[in-house]
Amino acid sequence: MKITGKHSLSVVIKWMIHIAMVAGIALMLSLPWTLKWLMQLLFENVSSHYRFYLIILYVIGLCLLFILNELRIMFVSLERTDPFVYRNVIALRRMGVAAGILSLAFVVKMFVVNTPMTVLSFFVFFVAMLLSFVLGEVFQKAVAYKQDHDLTI
Amino acid sequence: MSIIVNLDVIMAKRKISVNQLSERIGITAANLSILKTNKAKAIRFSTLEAICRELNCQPGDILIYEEEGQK
Repeated sequence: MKITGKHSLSVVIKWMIHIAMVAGIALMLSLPWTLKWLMQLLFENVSSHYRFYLIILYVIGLCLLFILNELRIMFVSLERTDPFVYRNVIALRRMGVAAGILSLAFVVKMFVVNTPMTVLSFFVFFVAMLLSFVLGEVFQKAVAYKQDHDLTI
Repeated sequence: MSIIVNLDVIMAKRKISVNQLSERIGITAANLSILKTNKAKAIRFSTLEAICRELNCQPGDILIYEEEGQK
């Protein structure tokens, strides 16, 4: 199977991102009710942390949707087999910022309701932030090389 | 850029169009146009050689150095 271009793996991943985005938006819209239902199911009452959970989950959800949208833009460029464009450098930097906000959100959660999963999520998004910024720089260099190559006659 | 591509003057002297020259030297008309309008960042020796051969000129006739700000 081809990795980039039409009818390739990148198109499959792009559609998976679309589905994840739709599911994410639906989950965000139904969050106040879903969270209440889940808390009743797990703890048998809506705890005092309901408002905190709601806020932190909205922050996390919005950041994840933002990251998915930037990834979608990158995969669209992969479908066009033209990934080395400046827009992808911006996408990687924006994803880095969003991952940074996510790791901060998990730090905040660590102080209020700490679980092993929260600590793990913090590390995952912290590393994702660093990787995104480094990849952004690598992409910027690649864009410059491509421009040099394209304008060498 | 300080290096000016003087291709349009030589082409006018030789009375040759962009399409004709691009066909003879084996590059696209779009690329030749980039070269002609000074938008190129570099030129390959093979391209320069082909241009000099077809236009019967020297590299110095095509490429001119001008100090920044001088026009």
